[in-house]
Amino acid sequence: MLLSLRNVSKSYTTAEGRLEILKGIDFDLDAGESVALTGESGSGKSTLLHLAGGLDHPDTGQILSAGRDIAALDDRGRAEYRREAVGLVFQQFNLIPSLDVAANISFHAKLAGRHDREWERELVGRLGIEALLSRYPEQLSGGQQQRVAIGRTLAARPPLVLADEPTGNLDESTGDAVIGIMLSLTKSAGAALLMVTHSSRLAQRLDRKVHLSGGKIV
Amino acid sequence: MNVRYIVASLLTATLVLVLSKAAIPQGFAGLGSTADGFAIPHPGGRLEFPADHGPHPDFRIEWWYVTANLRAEDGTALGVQWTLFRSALAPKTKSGWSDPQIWIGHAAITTKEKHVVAERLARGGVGQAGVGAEPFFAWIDDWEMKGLSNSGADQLDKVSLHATGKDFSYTLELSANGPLVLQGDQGYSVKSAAGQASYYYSQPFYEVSGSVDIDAKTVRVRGKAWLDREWSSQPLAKDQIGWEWFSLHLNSGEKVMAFRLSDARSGYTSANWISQQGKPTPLPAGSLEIIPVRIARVGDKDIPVAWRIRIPARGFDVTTRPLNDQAWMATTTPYWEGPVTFEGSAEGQGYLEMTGY
Amino acid sequence: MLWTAATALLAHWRHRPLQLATLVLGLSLATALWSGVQAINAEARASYARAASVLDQKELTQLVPRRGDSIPQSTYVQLRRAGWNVSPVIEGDHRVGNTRVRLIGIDPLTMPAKAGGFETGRTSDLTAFMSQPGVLIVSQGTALKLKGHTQMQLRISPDMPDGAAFTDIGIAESTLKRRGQLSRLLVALEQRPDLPSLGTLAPEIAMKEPGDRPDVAQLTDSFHLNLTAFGFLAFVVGLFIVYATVGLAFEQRRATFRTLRSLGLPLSSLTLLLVTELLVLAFVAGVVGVGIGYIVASLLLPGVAATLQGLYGASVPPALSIRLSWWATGLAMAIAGTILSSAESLWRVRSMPLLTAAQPRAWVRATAVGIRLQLAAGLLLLMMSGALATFGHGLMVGFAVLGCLLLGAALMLPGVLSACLAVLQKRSSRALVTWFWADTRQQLPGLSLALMALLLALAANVGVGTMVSSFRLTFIGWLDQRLAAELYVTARDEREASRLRAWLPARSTSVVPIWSVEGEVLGDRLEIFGAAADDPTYRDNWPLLSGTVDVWDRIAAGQGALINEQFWRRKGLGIGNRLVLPGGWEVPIVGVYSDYGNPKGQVIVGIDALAAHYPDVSKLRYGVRVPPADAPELKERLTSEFGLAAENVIDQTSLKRQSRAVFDRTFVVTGALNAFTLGVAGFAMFSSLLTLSGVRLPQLAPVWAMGIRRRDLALLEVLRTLALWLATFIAALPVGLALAWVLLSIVNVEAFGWRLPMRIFPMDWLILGMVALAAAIVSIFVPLRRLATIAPSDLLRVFANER
Repeated sequence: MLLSLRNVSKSYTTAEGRLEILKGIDFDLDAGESVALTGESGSGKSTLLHLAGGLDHPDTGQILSAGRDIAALDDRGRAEYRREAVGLVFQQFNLIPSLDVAANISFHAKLAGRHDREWERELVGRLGIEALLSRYPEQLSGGQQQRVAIGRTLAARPPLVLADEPTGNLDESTGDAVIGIMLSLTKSAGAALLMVTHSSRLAQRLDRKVHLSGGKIV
Repeated sequence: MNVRYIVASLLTATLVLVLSKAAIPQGFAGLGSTADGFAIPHPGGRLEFPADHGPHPDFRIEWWYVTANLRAEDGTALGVQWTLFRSALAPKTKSGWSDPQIWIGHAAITTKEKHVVAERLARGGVGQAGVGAEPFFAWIDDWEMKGLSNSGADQLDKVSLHATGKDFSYTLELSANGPLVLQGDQGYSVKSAAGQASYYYSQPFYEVSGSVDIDAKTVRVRGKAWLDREWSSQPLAKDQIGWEWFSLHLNSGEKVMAFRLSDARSGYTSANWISQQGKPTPLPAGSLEIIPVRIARVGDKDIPVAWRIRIPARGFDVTTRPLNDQAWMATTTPYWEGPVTFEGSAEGQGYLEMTGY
Repeated sequence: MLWTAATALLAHWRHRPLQLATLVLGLSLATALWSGVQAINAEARASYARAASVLDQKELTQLVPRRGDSIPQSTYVQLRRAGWNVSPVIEGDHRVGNTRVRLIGIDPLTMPAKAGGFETGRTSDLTAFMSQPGVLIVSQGTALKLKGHTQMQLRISPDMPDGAAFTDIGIAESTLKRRGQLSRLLVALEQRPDLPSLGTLAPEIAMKEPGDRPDVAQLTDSFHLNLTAFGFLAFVVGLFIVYATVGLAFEQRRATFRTLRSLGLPLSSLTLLLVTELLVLAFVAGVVGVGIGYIVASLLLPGVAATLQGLYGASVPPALSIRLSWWATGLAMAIAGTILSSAESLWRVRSMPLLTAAQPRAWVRATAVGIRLQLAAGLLLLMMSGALATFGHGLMVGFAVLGCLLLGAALMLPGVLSACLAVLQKRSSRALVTWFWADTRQQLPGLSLALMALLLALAANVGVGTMVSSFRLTFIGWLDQRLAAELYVTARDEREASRLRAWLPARSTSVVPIWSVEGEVLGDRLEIFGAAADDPTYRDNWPLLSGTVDVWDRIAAGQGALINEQFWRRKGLGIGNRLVLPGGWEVPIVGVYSDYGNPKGQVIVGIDALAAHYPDVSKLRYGVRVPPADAPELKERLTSEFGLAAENVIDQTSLKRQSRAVFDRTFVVTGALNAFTLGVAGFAMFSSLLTLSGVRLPQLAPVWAMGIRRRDLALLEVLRTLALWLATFIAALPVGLALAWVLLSIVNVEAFGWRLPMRIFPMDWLILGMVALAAAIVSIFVPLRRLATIAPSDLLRVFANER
């Protein structure tokens, strides 16, 4: 078991009062497995992903990764978890604007202490971004940016890749191509993938689909 | 307001006195008073020459006043004025810059088209200006009136006259062909019904020759000139408005001096009829009548420039015409002074001075 | 519609009061320093102008004596009689009670109209002016001092400078006991044609053309230039603040602009609204700024006045009078500055497409080309500065060298920093370090204006500080040499002087005559001093720059002359050149000495030779050598026993104390201005950082997501700012030293004729560095706090929400 969520709840305080997003979630993810997380807008998909990625912490419950409870970690522990155990791909702003593509790709790997030039070269080749290495993020199209973000994430060889609507800002055909590359690369890296998407068409391409509604998995 | 202003205000205070050439009347109050210890003229005081050609520093004001009616060789008429005023702040002299005697020079040339004026100011005590009686020498800066007479003759019988301005200069030689004329009673000239007076004598018999530089040309001139010498101490009356003063050369060779002093009432008039030989006949008060006949616009003022003068007792009735309406003396204290001709019961030429406009 | 739109636009400020405060405060500070300095300068200049035009009637040609200090009255009369329209002046110092006034006796009768320019009040009574006891036309301040001490009537004129009085020449003649001795003659503009020439009429006097500016103004110019430079620098720095803040405010309201325009608000109306908003803000800030400037100026003016008085003897009233022109110029500067610094933002609003989605792009973008162009322009300016310094001459060139140097250095700064950071980035292998340098480099364009401002402020601090300190050290060292005698005495007249000569020798080690005559040498009017060359006072102490081996022997023998540095430089003289002194006396130059603080040339010859060639030299001044411990007693005895007036005995210690006090006041003024400039630069940095912190989130969020804590990110932000400050500080040192060098070796030589040796004060830099560090930490504090306390949800929103 790569990741287990046990009775996880999360609420936010908003102007309208307390808003319960997740109400006792139980969820398991195996190594190398790919799972699509679907649900209505506001159903808590992204929140679940953020909790799993150690970006935020739950009100109650446990998030177990390799036997550790991430929910119990302090800020430093969660940062270390993010650095070493997960890779994140978001809808936008994945890349560091001051670094060129090459430096962006190796950034996370170097932070995680898993920099591997060979693997990086292979990734770049398979992503088809060899020509972009010396460019800066703002010089890339949305599709190119997301490819680089995938390369950046996988270069660090994380056991778990978390993706939040990675193609949400892309048109359909570009999005399909990006998803295709991501799925195949994740598989060959042996990483598990948890991807938030609102598209059931994309969800079908993954091993499993989990639907979130009213703060619970249905 | 700058230094000029001080000068201007000083001069309005002092020059008004100086320029009351025809008379130095005083309001009815303060009659006969002598302000600040200045001397006052008194009847029976006899004039003595050449001493009285020189300055009288114990009197408040004094002048050496020459006006000349001239003609250029081509017959063009012109007038020349040369005046040296003395105005004392105190009845004394001192050597150096503390001298209270102030000297003021006015010079002018009037032609039909033009009227040019210059003014000089100086204080006594340092040698910049002054008057000496014998040999006669009156000067301010580079302006001079200098006696040229041989010994024995009167110092003023023959004089040279010189003045310069920014755009003119003249050098004239004046020779008298008649005697000095004492005005009033042996030189004691009564100026008002209340008995104000000055010492006053004239030399109206000058024949003139010389040269005038104007418009960058030198012109030879000849003609007649009239010198007035007068000194007194009494300030102007508060009700004084101004005056008209005439010096007339009749073609007959006779001379007439006439003035009217305007005040709130009918004014005070006075005249002197001078024969060809220089014998004066002072006319009694009220025997003179003068009436304006033409008003001209001079600057921003309306000034009567032509006058009818009547002396019924002498059958004298003439009208004067100015050579140039615009004979305005734009000096610190401004006034009108220019050459005139006259026609009527007699003909001739002369000078008119008007103040208070 | 317009009103609704305005409300929508203005709501922005209600939510961001800090931003509004930054904008108004930045502009106010800039305007304040600018108008404060202008106020000081205007006050001082007005007072010199008054002194110059009123007292010296400088716009007129004057006639002055070729030798001695007087023109005989007869010469005046001679000129007048020849038709010259000239007016006499008798002037001199006159003591009334305890007050010394410059008495200027004029002749109102011949005074040219242009010579005036001062108010006389309602002086309608010239009789009083020209008669005993006389009238003194003085300033309000002088009148208060003289009241009750003089019989003369006091008339107050607001245009009179302090310490001077106009009076009638007759009064002046008797008061100053200058019978028949005129000081100078004024030549009226209006003269009759073909005047006889002055040379034939009065060869003993010389004509001095108008436009010879008063020495005091020339001297004080550099001081005021200094102030103006500070003021302008501060203003430019302030504009950086405005630029940054306006840019941010516009960027943050892009969505509002778009919405308003989609709702049908025409572009012209939107622009009008924004321009109006800016103008109102500029006006408010301008008013506040001029107000603060007034306070700054009135706090500084007493120091400035004291400095000018002490350094140059120029009198400036220590109180400030409100001039309408500052309000006008202060407000105009504020408004013009606002428009200038918001032009770019306004233009961007106008060219913003209506329908494109808001691009999440930082409002400041790295423009490599811009930085490179700037670098090239800066390099060009520096080269120009060097070329000017090498080949140019004249004061204006000196200032041009300064301008090119400062501007060039400032322009080059971002490029140089960027290059350094690129190297650092390349050389680092750790991801976080690489990112640190790369990210710092990315911040450069947004911070470059603030950094340039900081560079200028720091360089000015170093430069002006070095100059003033060098001046102080040199000047005081020189005073020590120059003021060797323990006491300096001045007799009131020759009788007292001969008594002194008899009284002193028994009571002192030696008595050194200090006699001088004034005369024309090589076309300059200067003072010729006599030196008792055998006395150790000269031999051991006199500060010679160069000289022959036997210089003092030759001076003692009357076979040589010393000249001061300014005369030497101005005339391009050399040792051995022959000098023709007044009266045709010809001597070779045997040495050059430094003579700081004196604008004029000076010559020193042997005292015996001086007395022999100029028998009527005034023999009233003496230096007295005694063992220092005995000086106070002798001073006491000179007044009580001998009967010399107390003010005629000056002891060396108090003279030196006064000089030091002058410098200390100069330090207060420059120190205060330095602090203000640095403060404004710090504020510029603060506002730039504040602005940047708003666009930092998208840059920092991915790094955070990849496992760097917020705390560490904040720490890196601090390090980044400090690194930039440190780099700028290091860059400012050579620029500041170059500035000091130009001031000391070019501007000083051109302006005053002497070169000051440059002294370096590294301790001062350390202090400056600490101050700069403190300012840096303050400037980052607010933006940092914001970053350290940001909620994860805010960071996460970056990844999902459209901006």
